[in-house]
Amino acid sequence: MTVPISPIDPLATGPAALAPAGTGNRTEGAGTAFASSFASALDDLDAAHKATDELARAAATGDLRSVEDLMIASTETQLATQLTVAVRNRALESFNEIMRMQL
Amino acid sequence: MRITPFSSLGAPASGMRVYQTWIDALADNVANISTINPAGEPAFQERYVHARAAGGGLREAIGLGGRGSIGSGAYVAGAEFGDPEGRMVYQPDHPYADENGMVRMPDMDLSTQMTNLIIAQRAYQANVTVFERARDSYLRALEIGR
Amino acid sequence: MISDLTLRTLQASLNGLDARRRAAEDNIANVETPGFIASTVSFEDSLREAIRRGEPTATHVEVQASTKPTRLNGNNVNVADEMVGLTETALRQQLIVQALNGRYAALRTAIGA
Repeated sequence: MTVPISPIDPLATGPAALAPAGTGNRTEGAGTAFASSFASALDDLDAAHKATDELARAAATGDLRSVEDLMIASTETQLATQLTVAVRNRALESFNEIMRMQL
Repeated sequence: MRITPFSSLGAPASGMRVYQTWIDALADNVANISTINPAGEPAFQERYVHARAAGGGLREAIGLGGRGSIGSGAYVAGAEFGDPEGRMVYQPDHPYADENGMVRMPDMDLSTQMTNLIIAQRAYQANVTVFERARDSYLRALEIGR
Repeated sequence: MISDLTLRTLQASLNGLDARRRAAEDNIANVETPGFIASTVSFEDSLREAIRRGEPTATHVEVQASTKPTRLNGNNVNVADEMVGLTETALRQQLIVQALNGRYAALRTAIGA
């Protein structure tokens, strides 16, 4: 059993979302795409956490069938968390940079 | 064995119990190899242990029988006692001797018992090894992602 | 988003497993004591029920006398069974600790980044 994780490609969405102001609609479209893909990534992360929690509770009561399931789910959830946080930080950095530029 | 995340430990643990019981029975036999009883009473009866596969084993697990499972191991289904007739031995000086000087001794062969003891001991050790290997692979699994 | 229920469940199970480990060590130490009856610890059923109610810390860890048959000297400790149980308890404690670490690491990442 594997926990589904939606793939995020930060390199693709980052620069596209933060293209310079002159490109008008295209920038706004790309920004919205980034926001919605990030929102769905957060949902997936939440689902991953819930699934891992359920496995952890099963392990606590001794009902867990497979040790590997929990270890793999736990690792994948941790990695997904780190990835999501890294994407958020990157987006925040780029946003701050843009804000500085426009002054 | 109750359901646990570490189900591979069940079979070797059950094997250890079975062979330990067999070793106990064989030790009993060897201790009584020369036990003398009066002619009118039964002789010491050889102890046998019946071992059976638990849960039907592999054959049923792959659909050739009813419900079954892999990894249930073995269990002691029962014990049996051997021939109470034994053999009559001429020992007129023994306090148990009857008017003909005969006493009853068990009809057991020491070399057979010792051979079985070696087999039982090896089987026990084999189960301990399997148990330790299963434990080690679980320890590896617990390191996934660390 | 933080599921406190899981952390408290893991904590409760560690308490139960610790009691089980101590009982096993006690049993093994008394393998030759005449008249000694082995102890067994049960908490999983109580924990399952407590999770359903939402308060895992209310788990009752119960220590009972083993009903296994006694030998001639009144002692009913089976060393091989106790060692096997001890190994399994240790593995389960490892498992819970790993689950806890994973949980804390994820929280730390979300907070500290």
